[in-house]
Amino acid sequence: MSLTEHVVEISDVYKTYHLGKVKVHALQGISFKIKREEYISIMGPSGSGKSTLFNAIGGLDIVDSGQIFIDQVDIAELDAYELAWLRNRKIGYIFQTFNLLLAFTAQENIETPMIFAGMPREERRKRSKELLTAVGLGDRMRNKPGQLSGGQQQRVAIARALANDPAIVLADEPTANLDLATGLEIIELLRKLNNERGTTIITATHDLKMISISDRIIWIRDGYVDRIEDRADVQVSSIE
Amino acid sequence: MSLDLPEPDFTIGEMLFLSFSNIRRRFFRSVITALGIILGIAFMVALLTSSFVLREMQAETGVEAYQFWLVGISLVVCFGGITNSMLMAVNERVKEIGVYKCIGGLDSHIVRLFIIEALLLGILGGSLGGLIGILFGIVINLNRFSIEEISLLIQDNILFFVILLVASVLVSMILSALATYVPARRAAGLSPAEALRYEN
Repeated sequence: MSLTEHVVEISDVYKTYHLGKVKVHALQGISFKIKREEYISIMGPSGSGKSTLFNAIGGLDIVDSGQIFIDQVDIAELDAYELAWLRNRKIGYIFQTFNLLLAFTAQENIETPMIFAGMPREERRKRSKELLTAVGLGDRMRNKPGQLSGGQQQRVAIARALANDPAIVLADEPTANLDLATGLEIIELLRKLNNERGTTIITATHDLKMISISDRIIWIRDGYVDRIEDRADVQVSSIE
Repeated sequence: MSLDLPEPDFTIGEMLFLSFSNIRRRFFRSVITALGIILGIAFMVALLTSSFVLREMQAETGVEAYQFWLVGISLVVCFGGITNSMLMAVNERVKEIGVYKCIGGLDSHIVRLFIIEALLLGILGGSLGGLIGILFGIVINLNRFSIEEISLLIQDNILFFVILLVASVLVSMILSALATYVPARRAAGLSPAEALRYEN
């Protein structure tokens, strides 16, 4: 696949939830483009549509209308098998609640996406060890999620997201369940991955700590793009 | 739009490994699920054994009239017990299915994982339940007949007991697999976001 400038392209996306008789217009015509190797924060108050947008970009949920291109492939046109491949190889996911497989050790959690990718066992062992070491948990490989702290679990989740070397890492409120210091560590780690591996990172967050390290911030309000700011502009406006 | 993808290389060995780890790691939950199967099968097999013994001995006990109904009820209990425990076991793991989907599991992979787990539990529950049921079915008749009579009966009819045991394993495997397939298929068909949001 050729190296395209825009790794994610979203145009005019709508999504409405039906909660009984109430219609919730979560996304109302969202459009933006994300360049390769960018660090993007999608910010906005609770209920602004951040998580819906996160699910839409990641191909985790279907949208009502509009197009989402990942590496110039329209994900609406993918069949179930291709979507699974996309989630497996192209995109890594990080969640607020970590969503690790509780029955497995840290190492096995990281190996699961590799199993789905058909990687041989020896290679899996080696790679999962490397990834765990990279996130600073080389000595906790045999621990299950229940035996790890929140920050450590999130590190395992980050290592799992990187299992098949994805082009994009999507993070939904990755720091919301963590204390201030641990949250900062996770943000640092994400920034490091962005710098060292060139992984495009997209976080949906309302954690203002993200602002100082993001290349661009997309502000969402009531399902619309409120404004898109570069880092330099934001620092000024947030001081005001 | 075609991405020209290779076939995934997800072997039966890997699946067995994942399923087996899941059972082992969730040991107590698996024991409870297996107990549901064991009880259902054991109840049915005990009644079948008992009625077989009574029929073979041509005992005039007056309970023959009830046997038909008892076996019928035991079948219902067995079906209900197994279906219920497997349905519950899948239902509380919808979120896990969502996680599998997020990390690139195909619907068919996920369903197969759950089916293999159900089959393993089915084999375990069916064989244990069958053995317990046969033992129990014999023991409850010991006050009517002597041990010599019973052991002679078993020797003469060893084939019946083997078939009963095989049948109980098969019934429990089929029921567990079916009762897992339906909810697992449904859960795997959800979009990952829906599965992750799912609350029991």
